[in-house]
This record gives sequence, structure tokens and C-alpha cells, in this order.
Amino acid sequence: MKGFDDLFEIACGNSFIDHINNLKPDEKTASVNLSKNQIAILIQKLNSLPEKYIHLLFLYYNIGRTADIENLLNINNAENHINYLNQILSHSIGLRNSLIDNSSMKIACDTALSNEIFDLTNNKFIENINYSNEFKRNINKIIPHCYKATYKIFSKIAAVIIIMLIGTTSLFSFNVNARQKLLNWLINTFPKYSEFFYDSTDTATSSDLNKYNISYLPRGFNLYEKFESDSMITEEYRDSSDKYIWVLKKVSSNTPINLNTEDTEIQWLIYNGTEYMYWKSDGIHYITWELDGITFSINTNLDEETSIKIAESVKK
Amino acid sequence: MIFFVITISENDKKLICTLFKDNNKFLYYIANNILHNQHSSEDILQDTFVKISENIEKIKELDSSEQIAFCVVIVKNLSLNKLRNEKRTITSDNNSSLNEYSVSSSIPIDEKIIEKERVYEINKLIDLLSESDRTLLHLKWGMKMNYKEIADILNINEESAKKRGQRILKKVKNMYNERMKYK
Repeated sequence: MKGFDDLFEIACGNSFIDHINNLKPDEKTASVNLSKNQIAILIQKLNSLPEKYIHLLFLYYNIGRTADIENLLNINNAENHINYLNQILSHSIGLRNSLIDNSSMKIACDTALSNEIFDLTNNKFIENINYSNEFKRNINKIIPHCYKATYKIFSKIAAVIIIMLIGTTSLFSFNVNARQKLLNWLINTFPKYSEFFYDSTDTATSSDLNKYNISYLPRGFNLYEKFESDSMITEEYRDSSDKYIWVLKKVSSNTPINLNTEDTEIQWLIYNGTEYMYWKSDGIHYITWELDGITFSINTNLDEETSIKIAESVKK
Repeated sequence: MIFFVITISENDKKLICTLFKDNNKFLYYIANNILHNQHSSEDILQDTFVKISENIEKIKELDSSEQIAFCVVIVKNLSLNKLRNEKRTITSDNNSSLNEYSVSSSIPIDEKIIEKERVYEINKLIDLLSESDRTLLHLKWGMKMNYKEIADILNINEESAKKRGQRILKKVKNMYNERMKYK
């Protein structure tokens, strides 16, 4: 059985939580803009707070999304915590019947934290960190431009949607300037289309292609045509109108795929750790991605949301 | 939409990349100082940059020192959360193995109920204290501040803060014992 002192600590903690949860926003009390001297005192006071609360104030006054802050700082009711901190800090710097305004609080928090970080950055850090290959791969997914050259995927001239499945790249004159690398994708931009080639570390065989199937098809769609070769499968689904869904599954280590990218900007979609490229050209939605050594591509004249839903549904 | 959609402009991507290139070692160092594990620290660094990507619209409005401060706040708190979760996992693993072999080690339910009731009684007594006494208790046991920090906030010296804390504890304890006499 816990002794009184332990129970007292628990009770104090509970009392604090109750106090925070029952705190009413103090709209009647005026907020004041602090002088430089007052801000300097406030910074000193902030430095007396546990780091968690300085972080709370910093994030609140710079980012403002309380749900994210609560999650990150393991804190409930961030807004009321902010009000409480403002009350005790206002009182601490000698304000009577007024609170600290947002801009003064922001300046003080930023300075308090910057001072701490300045001290940290002046330390000598490990110069040579040998990040794991997995980390490098993953960070490349999060920050596409970080380790690769910048890219631009605009084809200027093409007028007609072309989906070409070309056997070899040598069929085309090669424009070095348009050759860019993005994550593990090598993208060659030609006047009428772009050529996507995935530099895969995974290996797949043609027998793996049939293991992946669409598990979501909009109502009314049926398989219209299927084509299979050694390294590739294409499926076309149609409904009774002119709507279609075209699906390509291709062994990545083989040949590139060529898709229309006229006047489009590619968006990156990351879902379950897989990077998807999405773009729209001439009313057609394109999604291309790589998984387990297979390059997938979907294009459809349905809407964006449906096209993404279809791509997401491709599973083993 | 089910996808986590990142539609980041070229300039924003460059900013994220710059933040990574300029600070990755420093951020890794912070994470590793908390976690002491390369794999976990790398995970945290990745998660940090996911958060940065998610908040890039706000981050780009900050000046460079604030941007770094943001990175530090994220990396520290993600690291601390991971550490907490790992400890929780270890504790719960230990508990499950203990429960399997030694049921008596857990606190009996009736004792828990008694403790809960006592805490409730103490809570009621804390409500009777003056606001300034309650503030001290909240700073000490709610925000887990030490007496030096409390003294700075309350503009008193450390010794006074400590004595006040002890006096309040004694006062509540006496009130509690008095009350228990009649129960």
C-alpha cells in the first residue's frame, strides 16, 4: 500500500489535470504587448519551465495545430495548458490583471529555444555517421530531392495521349539534359512523353505479375481486354459508357514505360511506404509506382479520387 | 482520401532537403543521445522529416533559427515518445511474465480501491487550500518542476519554496488524519 506522501503526489497531479481541464478561456482579461525588458525577463522565466512546456509554447505560437502538438508532446488539452502557462508567466513577470500577448510570447519562446539550440549546435558532433542503407532509401522517399539531382517533368509539345510500351530505349534519340533521376526512378523526358524506368533492388519474375490484382473496381466495370507477354501484363476494364481503366504490370528490371506527361506536374503520393507518382494530362489520370520489383501503371478517364482508390487496391 | 498526399512545391522540397543536409547529423546526435541506438535514431530522423514535410507551409514562414528550433523540438519529442513506448513495452512484457508466475506480485483490487478513495479524499483537501498553495502544488507535482524552478516562477527563493511545499504537505496530512479519525 502506498504511503501518504505518494498518494499526495498523485492527488496533486490529479488536481493539476482537473485545473487545466476546467480552465475557462479568459476573454475579459486584456493581453499586453511586452517591452524589450519584459521580454528579457519572460525568457528567463521560460527557461525555468520544464522543456516540454517551452516546446508546447514554441509549437503553439509557430505552428498552431493543437491536435498535432498534443500528439507529439503527449499532452491533453494543449489550448488550456497554453492559457495556464500564460497566466503563471504573466503573474511571474509582474503583470497584474493582464496576460502576455501572442507576439511577445512568440518572441520569447523563439529566443529561449534558439539560445538552447545555439549551445547545442556549438557542440562537436559526430562528423561521420554511417547511416544504414535502409535509412538512406527511406529518407530518399521522404525527401525526393535530397540525394538526387533536381528534376523537371514537363513535356512541352505533345497533343495526343500516348501510352507506349517500348521494348528498348535505343529506339529514341536520347536527350541528356532531359534525363533526370528522382528517388529510384530514372525519367527521360521526350517531346511527346516521358520514359519511366525504375532502378529496382527487388527482383520479380513474370510469374509474380499475376499475383497482384485490383481489388476495387467501380460498379459496372468489367475486364475488356487482357494482354500478357514475358515481362508484362496489361488489363483494360470498361463500363457501358466510354469510361475505361487501363492497368499495366511490368517486371521493373526490364524495359521502361513511356507515358504522356504533357504540361503536367507530378505529385508524389506516399501510402504504406510506397511512393506513387500521380499526374493528370488531357483529362486522363495517371498513377505509376513500383512494388517488389514490379512497375505498375494505371490510367483512366475516371476522376482523381477513384483512380487513386483503384491504385491503392492493387494487392497480392 | 486514403492516401497521404504530398503536394509540395519545388521550393519547399529544396527547403526540406536543405534542412536535412544542414542538420541531419546534429538531429541524429540529439536522437541518439536519448535513444542510444542507431536504428531507433534513424527511425526518428525519418519521422522528423515526415513531420517537417507535413508542416512545411508553416515552417517556411519561420526564420532559419526558428526552423532549426522546430526540427529540434520534433526530434527530441519523437525520441522521448519512442523511449517511453519502449520502456512501456519492456514493463508490460515484464508484467506479463510476472503475472504468469507470480500473481501475488500485483496489487490486489481492494487495495487499489482504497488507494483511489484516499487520493480522492486528499484531492478534496487540496481544493480547500488557497490558490497560491495550490499553484505551488501544481507546479511541483503537476508540471514536475523542482523547487529551484518553482522559486524562479513564483519570485521567491528556493529555500522558501521548499519550506512552503513541506508546510502544505504537512497541513494536508494533518487535515487528512483529522478527517480519517471520524470515518
